[in-house]
Amino acid sequence: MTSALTARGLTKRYGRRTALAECTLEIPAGRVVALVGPNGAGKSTLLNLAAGLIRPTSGEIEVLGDTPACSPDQLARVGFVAQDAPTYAGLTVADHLELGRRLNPRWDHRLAERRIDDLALDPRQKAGRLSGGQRAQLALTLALAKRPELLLLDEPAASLDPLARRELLQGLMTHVVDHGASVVLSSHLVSDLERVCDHVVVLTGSHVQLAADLDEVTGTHYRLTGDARDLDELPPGAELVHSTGTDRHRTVVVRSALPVVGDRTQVEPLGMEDVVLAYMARAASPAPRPDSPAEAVR
Amino acid sequence: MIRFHLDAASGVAPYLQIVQQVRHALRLGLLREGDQLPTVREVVSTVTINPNTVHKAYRELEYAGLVTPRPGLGTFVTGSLAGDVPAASYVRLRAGLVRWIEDAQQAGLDDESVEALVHGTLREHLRVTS
Amino acid sequence: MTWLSWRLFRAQGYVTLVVLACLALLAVATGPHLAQTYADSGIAGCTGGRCSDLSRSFLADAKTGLTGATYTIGALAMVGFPILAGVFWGAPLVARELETGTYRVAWTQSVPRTRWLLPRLGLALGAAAVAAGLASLALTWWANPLDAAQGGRLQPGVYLARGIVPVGYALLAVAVGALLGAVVRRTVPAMATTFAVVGGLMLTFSLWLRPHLVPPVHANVPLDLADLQTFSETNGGHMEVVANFAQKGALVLTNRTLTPQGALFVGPADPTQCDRRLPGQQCMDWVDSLGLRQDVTYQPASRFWDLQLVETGILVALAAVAVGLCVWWVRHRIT
Repeated sequence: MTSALTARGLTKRYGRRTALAECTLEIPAGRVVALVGPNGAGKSTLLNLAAGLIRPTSGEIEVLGDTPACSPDQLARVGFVAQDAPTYAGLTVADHLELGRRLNPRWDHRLAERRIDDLALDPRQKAGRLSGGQRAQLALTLALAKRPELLLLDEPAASLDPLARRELLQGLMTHVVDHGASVVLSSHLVSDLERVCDHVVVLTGSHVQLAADLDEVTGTHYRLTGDARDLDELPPGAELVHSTGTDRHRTVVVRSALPVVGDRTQVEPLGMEDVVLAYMARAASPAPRPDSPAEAVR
Repeated sequence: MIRFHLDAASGVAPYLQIVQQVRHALRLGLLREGDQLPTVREVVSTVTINPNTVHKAYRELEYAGLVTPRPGLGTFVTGSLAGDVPAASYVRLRAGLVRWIEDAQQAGLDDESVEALVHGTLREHLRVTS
Repeated sequence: MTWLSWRLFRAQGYVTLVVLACLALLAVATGPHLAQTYADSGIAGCTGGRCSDLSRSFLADAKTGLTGATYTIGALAMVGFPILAGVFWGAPLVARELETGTYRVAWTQSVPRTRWLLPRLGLALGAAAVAAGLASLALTWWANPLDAAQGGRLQPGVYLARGIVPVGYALLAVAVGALLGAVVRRTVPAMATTFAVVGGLMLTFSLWLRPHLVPPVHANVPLDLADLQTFSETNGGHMEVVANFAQKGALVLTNRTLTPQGALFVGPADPTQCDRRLPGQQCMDWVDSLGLRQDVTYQPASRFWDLQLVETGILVALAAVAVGLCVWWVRHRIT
């Protein structure tokens, strides 16, 4: 299977500020990828690099086997919706569709019109007068009707209420069923992504902390709770992700390829949201315990 | 046609929830041999879910011998979990249960008491007879 | 891209058409009458001293009422148009997209940046050139009688509103505006910078460069005291005597009074002839007797088209450079 996105040592600096540091990643095609992390972690930077809007300071990135934005052909295969779904305030909804039609050779105008219809958007309405949610849906329509092989969505549902979020993700999933496409969607809200994504990339502090299929993530992370002394030594083959608690009672999140069984400690498998939170917590307080090394997990 | 629902807070993986809901329906006789499962597209348009998750759930059911995909037509139930118990028995027993519940409610039990009585009796009885 | 370029430019295009139409109406309403008045005044065929009187009265008469208003409006519009085009068509072209974030839509369709930029820039440049050209054509035709009576079109206020130079400035202003917009990335600062740069260029050309674009004519004639510009004497006997250069419509670069030997004349005044407090006729006669010469470099009125062509050529070349820089910047420096 080809790779949707490959990054090798990808770094982006703005003056003294590092937005993305030595990012190495391979996202397989045909997946719906959740790119998660706190604000300022580098998610937007990664997506903008993948869309060809910015260029790396060092390292390389390849999208669908090619340098981003290297040719009209490559541009046609990638759909991008930027954060806050920018639109031309003075152009109507219909104008935006016309823009899509004129600038994209693979444009599916029927798909676009049908979506606008289903969303009950007035084609004659100027984009500047639409609500935030409607603008997000319009921007997504532009990206979908282009029939790209890869969709890059930067916080597409950030400013939407829960119902509108659900509708947007629903429309996205329906599109994936009907037309097939790899999707990378970034979010700092994790809760409703588990049902929608099948690959997870966790980005914190400009670094990649975790990149794996969802099944692997949920199948290899465990939460151990118990006496601090019992948890001094981790089960064989387990790596520490994050540890909290007091000197007497600790809660530890570990990653282990082998099944973990607790004798005197309580062991629970974790859902995606809890795993992501553990990595985000680790990044927020990076000081490791003296005798358990904390490693970046790939 | 069975309708799936996802419980995001349950801690159970989405694909497993689908598998469980199909198995549950099979047990209860709500799904029978020859019935068609909803297409992936139908599931995706009613439940916000990754299509691969649905594929995965249907594959797992296929490995368990419960369903079979027929290319171009859909996925159909080919096994059963109801055992040798005929469907009519399920219908009769279910009706009896409904009558008993109405009886209990008329006797003055609230919902919680009904549930407690059922669970308690079930546990005791299964312990004794197993 | 053609559709999108026009769609985004549409409003400005219509506004310009309306303005051009209004100016055309003014020109048509007053032009023929002006031409007729000029023909009747007899300035065209006159010779000798009466000419300047006829011209003066014709000009004074023409600059009143609707005709006068048309002249002022036309001059302001023509000189101001390149600046407005640069500020409103050039500066926001790239800057607005960068500022509002719509460049993230524009550059992720299936069109690379250069193919997005060139048609938009081309439309703005073309529209500016056509608008400036048509307006200048109309104004040059309309003002012909006034220019003839004035004797020349080299003064900056007139020169910038005639011929092909307005087209050159319009092209340069739009190109510079687009480049500044791409560099500055915010619309209002880009507009302000464009205003300053284009205005500065027009001033620079008018004040310092234009007189030298074509080698000026050099004349050395006997000093005629009948038409003096300056005649003064200071405490130490230092004198300054400068005569007007009477050629009609000429643009004077230097005007110096030299001694017969070729040196700059600075006196000293002969105290017996020139009383410092009251240089009288006696002093003038004495100066007259010195055989002083007037040394002038100037551009005659007939040089109008030569200067226009050279200046427009330079402006168009500069515009091409600005366009090239803009494309390069958008392609390589917006990352």
